[in-house]
Amino acid sequence: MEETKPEIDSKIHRIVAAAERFTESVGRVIVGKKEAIQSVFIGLLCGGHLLIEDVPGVGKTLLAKAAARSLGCSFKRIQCTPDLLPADVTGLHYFNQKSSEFEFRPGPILANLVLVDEINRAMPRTQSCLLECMQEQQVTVDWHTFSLPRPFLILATQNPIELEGTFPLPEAQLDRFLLRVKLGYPAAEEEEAILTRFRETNPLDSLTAVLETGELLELQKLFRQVFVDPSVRGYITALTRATRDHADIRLGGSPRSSLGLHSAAQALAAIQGRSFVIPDDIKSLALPLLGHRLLLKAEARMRGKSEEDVLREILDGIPVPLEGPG
Amino acid sequence: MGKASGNPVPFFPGGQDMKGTWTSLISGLSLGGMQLAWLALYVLVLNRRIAGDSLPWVPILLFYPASATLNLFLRSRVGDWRVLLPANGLGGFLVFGLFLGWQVLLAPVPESESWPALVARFFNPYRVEFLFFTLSAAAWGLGCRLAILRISFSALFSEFQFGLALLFIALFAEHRLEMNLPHLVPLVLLFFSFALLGIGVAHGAERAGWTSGRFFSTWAVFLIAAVALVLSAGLLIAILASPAFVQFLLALLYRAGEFILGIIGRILGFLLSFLPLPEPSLPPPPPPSPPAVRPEDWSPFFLFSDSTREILRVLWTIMIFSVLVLALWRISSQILDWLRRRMGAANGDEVEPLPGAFRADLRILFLWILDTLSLKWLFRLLARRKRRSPERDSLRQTYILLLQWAAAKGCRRRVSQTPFDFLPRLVDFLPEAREDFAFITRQYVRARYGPLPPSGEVSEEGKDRWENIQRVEDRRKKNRKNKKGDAVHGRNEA
Repeated sequence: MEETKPEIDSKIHRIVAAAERFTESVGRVIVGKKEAIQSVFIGLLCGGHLLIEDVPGVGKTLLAKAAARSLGCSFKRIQCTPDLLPADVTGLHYFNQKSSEFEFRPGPILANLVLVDEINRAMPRTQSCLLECMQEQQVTVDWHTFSLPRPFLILATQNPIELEGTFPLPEAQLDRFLLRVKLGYPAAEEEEAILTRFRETNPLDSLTAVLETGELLELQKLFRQVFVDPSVRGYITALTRATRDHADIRLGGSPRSSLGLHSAAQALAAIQGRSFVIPDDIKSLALPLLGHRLLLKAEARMRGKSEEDVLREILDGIPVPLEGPG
Repeated sequence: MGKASGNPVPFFPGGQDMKGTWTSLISGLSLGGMQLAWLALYVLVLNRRIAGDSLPWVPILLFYPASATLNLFLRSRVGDWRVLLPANGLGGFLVFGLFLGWQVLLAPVPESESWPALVARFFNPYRVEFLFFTLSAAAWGLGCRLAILRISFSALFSEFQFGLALLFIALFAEHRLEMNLPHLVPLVLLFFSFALLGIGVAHGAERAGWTSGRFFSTWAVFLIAAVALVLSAGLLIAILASPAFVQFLLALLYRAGEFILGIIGRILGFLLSFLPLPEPSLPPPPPPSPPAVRPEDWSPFFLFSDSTREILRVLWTIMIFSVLVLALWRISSQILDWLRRRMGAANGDEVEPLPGAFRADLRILFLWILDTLSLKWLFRLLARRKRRSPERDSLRQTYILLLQWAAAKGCRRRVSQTPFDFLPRLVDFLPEAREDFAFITRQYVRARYGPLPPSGEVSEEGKDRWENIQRVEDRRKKNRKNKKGDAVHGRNEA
């Protein structure tokens, strides 16, 4: 049984303060979209990678860059194109003629925060070279394995509309993304605010780091102490298992998604200043966390169902743990 | 003992393809052979030690194949081990009853002995009849287990490990008690031969090993050669290892040890000769003797009473025990963690050390024992009593009352709604009690999903808020009635 950790109550304000600083900093560039910024912070806390997916021009890359600027850690960007090679990502050994030795030149993946822009434009073999980095936080080049710096986070963007010259991400890679963030078009007043804000200067240039690496690592340890009642854990597993048994779903949530849901719910609770997880956290995270992992059957797609519809059906069918021991 | 996992090979061949019949049969026979080998060794040890070679050990061992065959036959008819096991238990109980009756009631006994004394005499473990009965029951039970066990590579391997440990114990006992058993070497060789054969075949049958590959015939030859090698090596050692030969080997080892130690001593002596010898110093002067104290002048600063000393002794014992238990706990959890990682690594998995895993395993084991003894309810009762607090119960009760009240008014919560999902509906239903609904919901959520129980004040306030909701509703009803009355009155007047 999980230990009760009341000491988290006295430290939770640190996470809340850090989340506020981060939201405020990114919010100077991204107008509105509080939920998307919160999702990015959840990803940072959990050490989970994020897939930012939306139509062009809504600020996907800008969100990733603003998040990177707000963190005091190393940042690299990979612009994916069909001719990008795995060695361009991971680095390579080259022969130094002066020293007559092979030397390793690290690729852009060896950074704390990596923006993989337009990830679905890279070829499958280049996409696959990210699998090891994303799950095991290490990279293997020519039989040499290098540990990636901590924290390590990939912010990938993709455009779901423009499909020409793109390669859809394999399920194994999609499963490695903790959350899928969708920005959507801004509201009318938000769009006006964007016009005003970007009229003279780019606010991105004025951003400074509000969260250092050391502090982030500490917070990553701290949020794990958020209490999860056994019945809430049961709710998580019931939800994931229901995605596997649903008639419209070909591929349901993996155990990795259950783990992700557990830790993301802890992070969300901590950001909201709570020292315990409630079923509302799970419900609000279900779509961003499970949506991209589900593979619908062709019949369901033909009936016009989306992952969101199916997940809503599943959530409506699972009893919330309200009564029982405890 | 063996446990089924992976893609087990059912020993009972019914309902599977013909290709697997032979492999399952060989695996089953190997497992049976291993069990029979160590069982025979134990029977022989007990026969020599307790029964003085008067025990009919061959019939006892025959119970094992008889039980396995009968139970396999029954399983093909009944098909479910849930029926087989109780049937075997009932049969054993009946046989035991008959045996006891025969021994106690029918056997000629002196008239002076009472009936309870007769029963007690029967249960004497040194009695040959009792020993015969116990051992044959054990053989029967093992045979029954063999019939219902789903044999897999892991089952065979764990059976091998278990049997090996038992063999070591039996051999150690045999050696310490100097029994000179006649069939020791053949039994050990049989055990290893069966283990090698069964494990190899099961591994291949599960398509996890070399026997399922292209080089099956080559490896099969290697397997047979390995079995033959073990058998011949064992026999050779058994023939050569006469007491004189062993004595000679030991003497040789002793001489070699003496020689090596002598050389080391000489080297050390040579090195020590380089160090200067310490100069002899005078012995220190004796310390002045303390002044003599007369017993009547001496009085202790304070004296513990006997009861205090007893309490201190108990406390000291508890402390020592706690330290020991803590140390045992740490060591055990470390070992288990290490084992888990090793087993995971053997399967190619990466095992993360989870905090509390050992505790969880112990809990599961404890629950399993309680479940086996049909006492799980006791654990649940204890756990519930420990976890619940009156404040939490009170708040929870308040929320349940609120839900029941809302349902009675037609505002039913859907099972998929969380308390916060349901709150807007409650507020829509009775907007005047918005604050009360919000307070009760908030505190209930904290008490239900949080780690700490609510305080007494919160619990009391929850009750007050609930009463307030009822008052608000009564007031609303009265207002509605009054309005209706006014309307009727107005209409009458009109």
